[in-house]
Amino acid sequence: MSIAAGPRTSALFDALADPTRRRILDLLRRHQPLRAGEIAARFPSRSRPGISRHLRVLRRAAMVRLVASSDRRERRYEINPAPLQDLDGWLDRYRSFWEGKLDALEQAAAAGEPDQGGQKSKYPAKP
Amino acid sequence: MEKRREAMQVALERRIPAPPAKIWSLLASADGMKHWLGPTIYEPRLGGAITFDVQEGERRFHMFGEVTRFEPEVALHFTWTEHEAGDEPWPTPTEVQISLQADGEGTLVRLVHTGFEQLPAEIAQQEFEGYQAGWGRRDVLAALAALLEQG
Repeated sequence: MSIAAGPRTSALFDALADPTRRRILDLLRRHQPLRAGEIAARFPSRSRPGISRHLRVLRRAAMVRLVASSDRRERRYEINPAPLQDLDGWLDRYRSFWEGKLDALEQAAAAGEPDQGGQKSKYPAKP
Repeated sequence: MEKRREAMQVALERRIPAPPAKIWSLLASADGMKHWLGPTIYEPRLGGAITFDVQEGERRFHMFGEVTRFEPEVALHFTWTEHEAGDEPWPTPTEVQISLQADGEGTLVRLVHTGFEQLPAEIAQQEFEGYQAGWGRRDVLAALAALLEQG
């Protein structure tokens, strides 16, 4: 896996713990690459230095990276997908756990397992 | 990566060919739950307790929670706090939200397990690294299997 255990993983979760940073990631996912100013403009209620700070945290966690435009005149932010893909892998444990449980639910429904109200019909009263 | 990540969650949806009343009776009754979730202690009511044990490879943990929504044939929500043997329980719960929607003769069952981003960073990190360690072992086994196939 591409993330070393330790400080970098910690930075990853610190980065995700903040709702503004999650919104920045979401914004980048849909509109990247974006200049810092363009990102800040989407958060009018936040100060520009505040947004810069969030971007720094995201960069430190390697969740975003700065790329230079082809003419090298400006730098824009884009998502670095690797850490998020690794997180998806972590959540896959839960995904497959629940897949298995839904399989069981589906099988039980197909097998006509008695429901609470259906108990009686399984044991019909003798005439 | 087209998913929104306002929250870190797992979302599943599937259509089961049985009406919502039938699904609900399995999904949310104390007896029914044994058929799909396994041995469970569960009180089918708002505020009721739910607990069960999960065995996942070498990991064994206890899950406990509380029913946060109980709306017959519509939705069952409960919190999910893990407590792995030898560890403290998660200080913050995640939440499982199951909803039912009639779909022709069948039912659309939607399951969302949400709130992983709310776990304190050190717990999430521990979990995540535990997962990576497990993954590492699987990688080794997969590589070994691939070698054997080639041989």
